[in-house]
Amino acid sequence: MSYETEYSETLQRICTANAGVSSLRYFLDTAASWHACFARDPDGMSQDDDARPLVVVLGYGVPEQLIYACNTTPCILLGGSHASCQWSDDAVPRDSDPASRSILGYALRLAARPDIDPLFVVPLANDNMRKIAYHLKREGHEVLPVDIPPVATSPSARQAWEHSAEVLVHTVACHVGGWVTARSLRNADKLVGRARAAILAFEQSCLECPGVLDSEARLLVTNTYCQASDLAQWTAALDELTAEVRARYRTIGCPSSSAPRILVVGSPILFPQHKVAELINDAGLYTLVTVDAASTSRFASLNARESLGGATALMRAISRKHYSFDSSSASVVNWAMEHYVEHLLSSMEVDGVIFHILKGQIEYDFALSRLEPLFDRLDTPVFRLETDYQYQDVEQLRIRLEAFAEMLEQRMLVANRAYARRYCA
Amino acid sequence: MECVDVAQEQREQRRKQRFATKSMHMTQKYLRRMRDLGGTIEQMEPFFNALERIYVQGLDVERPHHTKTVGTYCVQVPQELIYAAGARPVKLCSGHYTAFSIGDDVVARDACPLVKAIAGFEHMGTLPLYENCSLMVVPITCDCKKRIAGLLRERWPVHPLHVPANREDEDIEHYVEDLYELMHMVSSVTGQAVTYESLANALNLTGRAQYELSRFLRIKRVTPNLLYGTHAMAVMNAASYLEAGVWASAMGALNDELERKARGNELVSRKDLPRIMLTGSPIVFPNLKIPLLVEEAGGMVVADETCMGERGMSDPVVPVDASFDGLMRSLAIRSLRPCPCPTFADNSQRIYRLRQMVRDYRVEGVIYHVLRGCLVYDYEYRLVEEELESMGIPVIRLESDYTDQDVEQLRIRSEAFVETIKLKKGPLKAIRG
Repeated sequence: MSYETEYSETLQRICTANAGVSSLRYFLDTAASWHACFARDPDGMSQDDDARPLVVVLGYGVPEQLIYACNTTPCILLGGSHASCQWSDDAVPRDSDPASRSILGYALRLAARPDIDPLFVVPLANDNMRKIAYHLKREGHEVLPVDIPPVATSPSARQAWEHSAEVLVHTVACHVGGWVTARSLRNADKLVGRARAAILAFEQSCLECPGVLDSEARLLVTNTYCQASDLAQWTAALDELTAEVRARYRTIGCPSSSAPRILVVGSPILFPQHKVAELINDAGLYTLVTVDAASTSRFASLNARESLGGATALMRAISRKHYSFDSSSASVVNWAMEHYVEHLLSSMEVDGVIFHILKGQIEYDFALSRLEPLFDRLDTPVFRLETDYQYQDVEQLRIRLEAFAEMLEQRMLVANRAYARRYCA
Repeated sequence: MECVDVAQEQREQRRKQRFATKSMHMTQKYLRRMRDLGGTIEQMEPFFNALERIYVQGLDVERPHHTKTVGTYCVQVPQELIYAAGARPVKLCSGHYTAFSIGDDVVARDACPLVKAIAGFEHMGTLPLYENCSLMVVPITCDCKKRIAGLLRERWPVHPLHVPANREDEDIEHYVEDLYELMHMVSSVTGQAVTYESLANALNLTGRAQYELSRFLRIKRVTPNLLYGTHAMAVMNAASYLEAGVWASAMGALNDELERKARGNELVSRKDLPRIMLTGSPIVFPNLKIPLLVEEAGGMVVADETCMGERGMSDPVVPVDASFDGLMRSLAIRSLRPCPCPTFADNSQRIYRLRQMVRDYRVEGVIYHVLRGCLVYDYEYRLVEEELESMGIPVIRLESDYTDQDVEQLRIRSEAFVETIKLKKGPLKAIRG
């Protein structure tokens, strides 16, 4: 499957399934134009003397406010494409995970473009990122590896992290020719904070108004946060979409669904690789919330008191806040993600959990074994879904997911009967 | 209810007994294969005995009463700090197949076998070497070590040590801070503060071991056929379980004997055997199948660039500032700057070292060992292959696991590799055998 086919088919599917929601078009267009940039073969592009500086962030792990503060918009590569994995096939070992392969594929595609001058910011959250940083450096590209200390409780780790953040700001500012002030940092934090608040409001409205948007569309919308060329505009469009979701639910109404409600936890499900989301939909399961490496950082914006002070103080405050909410794979134990899952399970009615693990991302396997006692205690069935970006396992996964959905439905039925019996008695 | 508990306990006891017996047999098998190779001398016995003591007799390391042991992993933990705090460092990286088979069910399928073996011992709780540790220091050098630190802390006090991905001055500064934190942690466990004198003594202690190692390497470099590479690797592996002074004394005796043999030209094999170097993922006792296969196939392992071998101890501490802080800094610099571990984002160091070793040991072929799931080494294979190709040195990538099931396949590939080098050296000689 070619790259164009991969993303356009997913877009087409989302567009058809959510045809009535007009505000979704902005996000479909954003995704389409972002991916179209990568579809062009860089070899065919003409040489440009004035290459535009671009800050490219590989994966999760750095606070994006610090980059926005340098008066530039980061290009955040998260992976998610099977076709882009093929662009990096020669550079990675067989056992590396598909998300990292895809990220490197995108990065190499960008690096080959003559019209841009990229600075690759690589948060060293795992082994793949460490070696990808080295690979890009050896190829002669400008790379800034950002070390993330794995134990957030240690004072020296916090110091080291703050230092990394300062180096990041300095390097990015030099690359784009920007100037970082307390004001630009404050504005950047507000900009990102508003976008994050809009995501949270959108997710909340999707929970309260089920059935208006399917889970694939919700994933696409949150994914485009990293692809927005104008974050303020993106936030406004999301607010509009949230309002439309609520309005449609009020006016048209959607049939109340008795589908089992699930949490999807683990490796991020990224556009265009929506195989798992599609299978979950097909199995008749309703995704309440998706918890991945980006989930907790949405709560990491500064409050009014923390926004005071000079540029250095603000820089440190932003990086500290990000570090304490970081749920990337950088830490020894991913406390942020575990606590968030625990919070969601205790505050929502969840019928089951799907633990999505991309092949090679062992951190989620370890997280699952740590969370299993919690699922046991709460009597929440959990389904470990391991896959990659290939399509060969689709039918096998479909059968397993359908069996899981049936099991959840049976449990709900038994619970309802028991409740009814108790009520009659 | 009580009956059920007793039955369960008995079952668990039997399971542990079976595990202990199986692991003893597995270790004995590898010790026997090492001895069957021939060329062992009396001076090697202290090293073999140390390995036997831990894995066959199931005993803890020899140490004075009340001396606590601190478990470490990887080469970035300065052993000097642990000695200076009055504790005994022991290396807990393991190559045990039986523990691996247990760990396989405990941790993620794609985790590396070394980490699975650690998890296996943790799960069974039968090996005194692990059980008696008062503290474990886990340097975060790869994703697997990161995760195993989280797992081990459920049973032991664990100090995860952040190893920076870069080696700039600021990174060294932060590492010095981390070493101070580690020092306080070890001191709190032993109840003994690290003083200038104790640290200087510890530096002398490990310095002596390093001196003997450098002597050993020099002898091997000049006349590699004095002992088999497998034996040399076992000798270096034994450093994990022997006190640095004891290891240095035993090493001194071995070096004296090797020098005597060199003078008398008493070799263990023909001089013209293909000279092979091992590099890549750690080769930890008892998982010595790769060097054994190479030497059984008629090759000679003349050098190993692995962290359980020469890399483990060869870089000396060089204090330039005689203050306490100066000593700490020199420990940090020694642990990071010369280290060719692939944990570092930019690891050109390793390429320089490999080139140097190829020249020093007149290497004719390189075996690149990759443990299944050991991504960091696998990433560097392509680069190493390119470099060695440019030097005209053939290289083969051998991927293995902690199991005997792949032995025959590995044997065929090792034999073919050795034959290729023989043919390259002199086709007629190879045909005549």
